[in-house]
Formats: sequence, C-alpha cells, structure tokens
Amino acid sequence: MNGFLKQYSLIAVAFVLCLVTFVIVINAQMTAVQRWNPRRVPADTVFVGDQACGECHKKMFASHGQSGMAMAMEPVAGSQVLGANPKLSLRVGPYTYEIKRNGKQSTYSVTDGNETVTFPIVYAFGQGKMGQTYVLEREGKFYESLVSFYNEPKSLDFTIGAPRGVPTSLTAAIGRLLSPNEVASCFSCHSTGAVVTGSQLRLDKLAHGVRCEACHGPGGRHIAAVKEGDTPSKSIFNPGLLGGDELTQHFCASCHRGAEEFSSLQSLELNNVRFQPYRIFHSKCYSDDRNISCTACHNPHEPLREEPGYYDKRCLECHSLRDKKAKAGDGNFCPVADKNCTSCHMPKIEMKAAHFKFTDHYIRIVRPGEKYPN
Amino acid sequence: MPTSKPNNHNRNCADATLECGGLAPLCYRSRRLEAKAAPGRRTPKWCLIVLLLICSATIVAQTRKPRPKPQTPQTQPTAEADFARFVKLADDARVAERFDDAISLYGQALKIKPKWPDGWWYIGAIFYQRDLYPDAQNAFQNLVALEPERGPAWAMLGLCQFQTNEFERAAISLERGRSLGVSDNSELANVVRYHIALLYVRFDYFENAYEVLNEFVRMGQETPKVVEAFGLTILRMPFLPKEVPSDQREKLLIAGQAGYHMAARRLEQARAAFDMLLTRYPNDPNIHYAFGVFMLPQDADLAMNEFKRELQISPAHYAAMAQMAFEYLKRDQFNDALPLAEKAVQLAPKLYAARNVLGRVLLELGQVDRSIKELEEGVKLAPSSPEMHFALARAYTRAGRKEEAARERQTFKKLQDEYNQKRQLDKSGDPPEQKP
Repeated sequence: MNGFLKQYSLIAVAFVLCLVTFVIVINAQMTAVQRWNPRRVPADTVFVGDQACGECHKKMFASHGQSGMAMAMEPVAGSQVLGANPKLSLRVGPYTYEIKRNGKQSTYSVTDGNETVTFPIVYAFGQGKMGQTYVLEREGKFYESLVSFYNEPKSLDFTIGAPRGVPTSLTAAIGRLLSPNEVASCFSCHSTGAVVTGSQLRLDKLAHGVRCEACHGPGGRHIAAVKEGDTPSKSIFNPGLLGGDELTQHFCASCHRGAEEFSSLQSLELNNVRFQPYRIFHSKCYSDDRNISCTACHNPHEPLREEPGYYDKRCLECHSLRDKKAKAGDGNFCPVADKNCTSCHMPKIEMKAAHFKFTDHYIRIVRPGEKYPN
Repeated sequence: MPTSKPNNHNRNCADATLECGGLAPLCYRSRRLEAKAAPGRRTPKWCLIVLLLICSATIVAQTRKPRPKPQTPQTQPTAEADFARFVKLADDARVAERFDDAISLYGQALKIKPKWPDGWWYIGAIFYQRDLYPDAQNAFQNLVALEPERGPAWAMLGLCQFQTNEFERAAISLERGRSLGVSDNSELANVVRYHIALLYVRFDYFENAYEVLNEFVRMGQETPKVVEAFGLTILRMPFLPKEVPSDQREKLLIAGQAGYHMAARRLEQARAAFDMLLTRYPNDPNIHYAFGVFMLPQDADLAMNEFKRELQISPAHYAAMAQMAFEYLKRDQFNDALPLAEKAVQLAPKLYAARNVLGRVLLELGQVDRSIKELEEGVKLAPSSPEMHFALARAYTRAGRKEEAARERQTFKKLQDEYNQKRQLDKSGDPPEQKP
C-alpha cells in the first residue's frame, strides 16, 4: 500500500513539475518577444532576410516560398505573370493600355493616340492567382495602375475599386495617385521591410512578398541566441502563441482586414468577401477559441489548400458526423453531409470585378436565394 | 427655425426647410404658391401655414390612431355632438386659413375631449407656425403624454424646446423623436437632424455633430445652412449659427466648405478650402487640428505635424492630444501615446474617444486592469459606439474574462449590424468607395 502511495505521489509530483515547466516555458516565450505587428515596424528594425531563416528551417522555408503570402509581390525580373503574358492590351474609350515584356523588364503604357506615357513596372502586386496590379512611380509619386491583369480571362481590366468609366485625361488614365498612407499600406502588406513607423518608406530594404520576418519580426537576436546556445524561442515572436481572437482580428487582420477596420470602410457590396477576418467574425461559432482562428485551418508556411475535404477535420473538432450522433435537433450535427463542409457552409462568392470566386469565411447555413449577408 | 419670415422664402428651398423649423414642404410649396399668386393677395406666411396644416394633416393621417371612444360623462350624446361640431368647425377654419378661429375651436374640442391626440397635434402645429413656442410646447407635451411612441410629436416638442432655449430638453426630445422614427416625413427628419447637429455643436460634441451632418452629405444636401453647421463643427465653435460674431463668418463659411467636401470625400476641393483657411488664419485655433484630421487618412506624418502645431496654439486641445495618441498607438509608440492620452482624459473626462485611446494604450503596455477601467468608462459614455465594445472585448480577453469578452463581441456585432443597415438605407447617396 505504501509503495503504491509512494509511486502515486511521484507521478503527481512529476506531473506538477511538468506543468510548472510548461507554464514557465510558455510564459518565457510570451514575455521574451511579446509583440510584433507586421504593419508597425519600428524605424530601427534590421531584418536578416529569409535566407538566414532557411538555413535552419529548411522545410518551412521551402514550402513558404510557394505560398500566396510569399508571392504577394513578384519581382518583375522573374515575374511569372509578366513572363507568361508578354503583351497585354486593353482599350478604354480613346485610351489604349499596353503592358509589354522586354527581356526581364516590363513597361506599362497608356496612349490617347497623340500622346503616350510609359512607366517601367517596378512593383507588381499580387501572385497572379487572381490577378496582378502595378504600382507605378514617377518623381517620387506613386500611382496605382488603372488597369490590372486578371488570371481567369488572362487579360487586362479595371483595377478593383477604380472607376469603371472612360478616364477624363491621360493623367487620370494612368491610374490613381496614392497618398503616402496608401503607399505605406500597399507595401507593408505585400512586402517585407519596406515601411517603418507607420508610413516611412525605405524601398531599398524591400523584400518581395510576406517573408518570415514580416510575421515573426527581426531574426537577428534569434540567430544570435541559437549560436550562443541560448533559448532561441525567447528571442523571436511567435504568433502561434496568440489567442484566437488576437490572432485573427488583430494580427492577421492587420492586412486581411478585420471586423473593426471594416467599420470604417465604405463598401457594403460583396467586395468585403475578400476580408476574411471580418467575415469569420460574424459566424455563429466565432470566439476567442483557437479552433476558429485563421491558423486553425491555414498553415501560413504552406500554399493554400484548395480541396474542401482538407478542412473537414477542423469542422469536426467541434461538430459531429451523422453516424456518430444521428440525433435530430443537435446543433452540432449536420443532417445533410459528412464531408466537404466548406462547400456548403463557406460558399464561393464570385466577385465579377475581380474575375474570381472568393471563399466566404462567414460560416453559416446558406439558404437558397438568400441575399449576401453583409 | 421659426425665425423664418416671409421675406426669407426666396432662398434655397431645402435651406428654408431647415430654418422653418420643421416643415420643409411648407416652404417649398409656399414658394410655388407665391409665384402663382398675385402680389399682395396672399403672403408667403399664409401659404406656409396652409401648407403646414396640409403637412400636419398628412403626418397625422400617417400616425393617426382611432379617436378615443366616449368613456366619461363628457361623452354623453350632447357632448359628443358638441365635440364633433367643434372639430368640423375647427377643420373648416384651418382649411380656410382662419387660424385664430381654428385655435379657439380646437381648444373647445379639447376641453370636451382632452385625450384627443390629433387635436393637440393640430393646435400645436398652428402655435408653432405662429412662433408661439411655449403654447406649442404645451400642446406637444400633452400629445406625447397621450402617445409616447409618436416620433413626430417628440420631434415637434424638441423643436419647440429648441426655440425656447431649453437645449438639454430639446436634445432629449429630438433624439427620442428620431429614434422612434420621423423618416416617414423626410422634411421633418431633415429639420430634426439639423437641429440635433446644432445641439451637438452647442454641447461641444463636435464629432457627433459631424456624424449627424454627414447624413446630409450622403443625401447630397449641400445647402448654406448645412455648410454653416459644418463650419461650426470644423472650427469647434459651440455656438448657434445666429450667435456667430460677424467677423467670424467668412472663416466659418470656408471651414464649412472644407468640412462638407471632406465628408463628401472630395479631397481636392477640401484641400483647397483648408489651404485657404490656413493661409488666411494661420494662428487661429482649431484650423490646424481640422486640417490634421483631414490629412490623417492620407498622410499621417503631415497630420501629426498639424496636431503639434495646434497644441502650440491651443495647449489644452484635448482632441488633438487624443488624435496624436491614436496615431502613436498605431505606430506601437505606446510610451509617446500614454501621456497624451492621459492628459486628454484629464482635460475631457467625458470624451469617450480619449478613454478609448487611453484604454487601448494601457492594454498594449500590459496594464490590463487599468485599461479595462478606462474602456468600461468609455462604454458607459458611448454605449452605442461599436469600437468601444470591440476594444473592451479585447481587454477582457487579455484578462481571461471570456464570458464578458464574448458579451462585448456580441454587442459590437449587434451595433455594427445596425450601423450597416443604416448605411444600406442611406446607400444611394454614398460616395464611391475609394480604397481598392
């Protein structure tokens, strides 16, 4: 009896020790680098570049390189979109647009028949899955191209949000002059290291796309800690430790737009289907639970998974299958199907202006013929 | 407002509507009648009153409840017959524009049946139009006592209280009228909206006034009165339009244009108006602040410089402090944000935006309990502000108070849905989206 008690006590002590250690480790990680926001980069930040990260995190580095976030901005020299579509043109009233490839360079030009303006394309925003928009620069001013490339028709069309009429002048036909805040906004979400302290540009430091340090913060201390044999996790920010709501509505939403930011937007059209944190916030099952946060379904280090079945296991963390719990009236139970939950409950919504169907992250029972819920 | 006199009626119609204190179609129709009538045969004032009554009758018809059935000795057959006779004579007098007679006859009818709501409406409307505001106020007070859910009655009561300088009461009555609904009568809704904006201005709630005035922008009503109200808001002058010193009027109108263009997102025109203000009045208070607010979504660095300049001119400008604190918060410069937010709260403890920014800054600095205290105070000050609930939800989450966080998130959703529904109703007047 005594032996049994002794053994039992030892197990209990070991368990408590493990728990304490776990809490200390988690706490240490949280207190080490508590804060990082991809769009609030301090002025003195020095990024080491993701090649340095890839030296240790080989697998993640390789898979992340294929992800949509990593390709949120394409280097023009190696642009797959511009390379595969060497000559694109569009006519809008008296204006003719042309995007031409010449070796590893591309140009964007507009002519009204008498006069032509040509810009070298330096910044190509978007991976091309849906499309690609160009930010043009002249004399320190930045313009969002009036027309963009769209993948589905493999052609040019008006950029989303641009007025879809005939421009009033050749200058207006180029595109929209961006305010300093807008320029900062574009570059801070589509590239890494180009924007500091809110809106200061430092394009010489730009790395294309959302790279490791965009989400994890500067890696210098982390690498030094590894070399010195210190606890590496203490010296790098890990968004994976954030709570579900903090992650979805504050961290990921800093670019993907969350519920609070949406309040200030003007559009109530289905354009907002693009803003996944905002959409999911309205789902009945949304909470602070990490099971309903962005990373519950999406691994940011990998390309997006498109097959609906892939996400079933996430739904089934909370919901039941028919054969397991075939009880009518059970809120957790889907009476219609056992698989491909997202195909019904997260319908694809076509945004005509984008020539693309977006997955609506507002998880719900979709009624036939119902109006798109804003 | 009833300061409106016949000679005012050659102004812009919508503007006259606002000034007439309630009854826009009156002014509009009266202008048409004026044009048709031979000079001197019928004054615009008379036209106004006729149309007031037409309008009143319409409103009454829209909101009319069955007339009360006889219940007391007064409603015995003779009294009932007398009542019917007085009502008929009063209606005839009203239609014939014999308003003194109409008042007397409606009064007789109301002596027999003091719980006749429409009688109070008619008599109140006639008093109001004749600038007899205390009498009109009594009539509408009786009406809302009988029918407390009748929005237009509260609205008219509020307009009377506004005219008798009972501004706090007026604000309560007008808001109540608005929340119960006056939108069946868009002209009355506009007048109520305008007066609510003026009251917000007078009470120093300039941000609220701006929000209310924005509704005119969405409807495309760029009238001189609306522009003037925008001017008061932009310059943060807690005056009624008639109280503005004459030497300030030019500045007020330029600021009003700037404010209207800003709300309408006509950025170039707004910038031109602000440039004119800054050139002509570079050292006047509130102008750098207003320009900073305008520039903040476009060029935050420039806006911050304007706020700093404003604080040199007006060292106690709590709104500039709160704006700067928000911007520092956005930039993760929490230690720069904190003293500004604290000072803003100290100077304006009732300003929910100051509580909001202080609470958010404290949360980022890990002072969760203090943050929650500030945010809870902010929610008390602005229970219908979605962002207050959103911020409080985040603070509760951080404190591990899950149920309270979930509750605040739900409130945020509910308020945001209501706001979206309202925006959808107004959507036809919305300017195009500017962000891609």
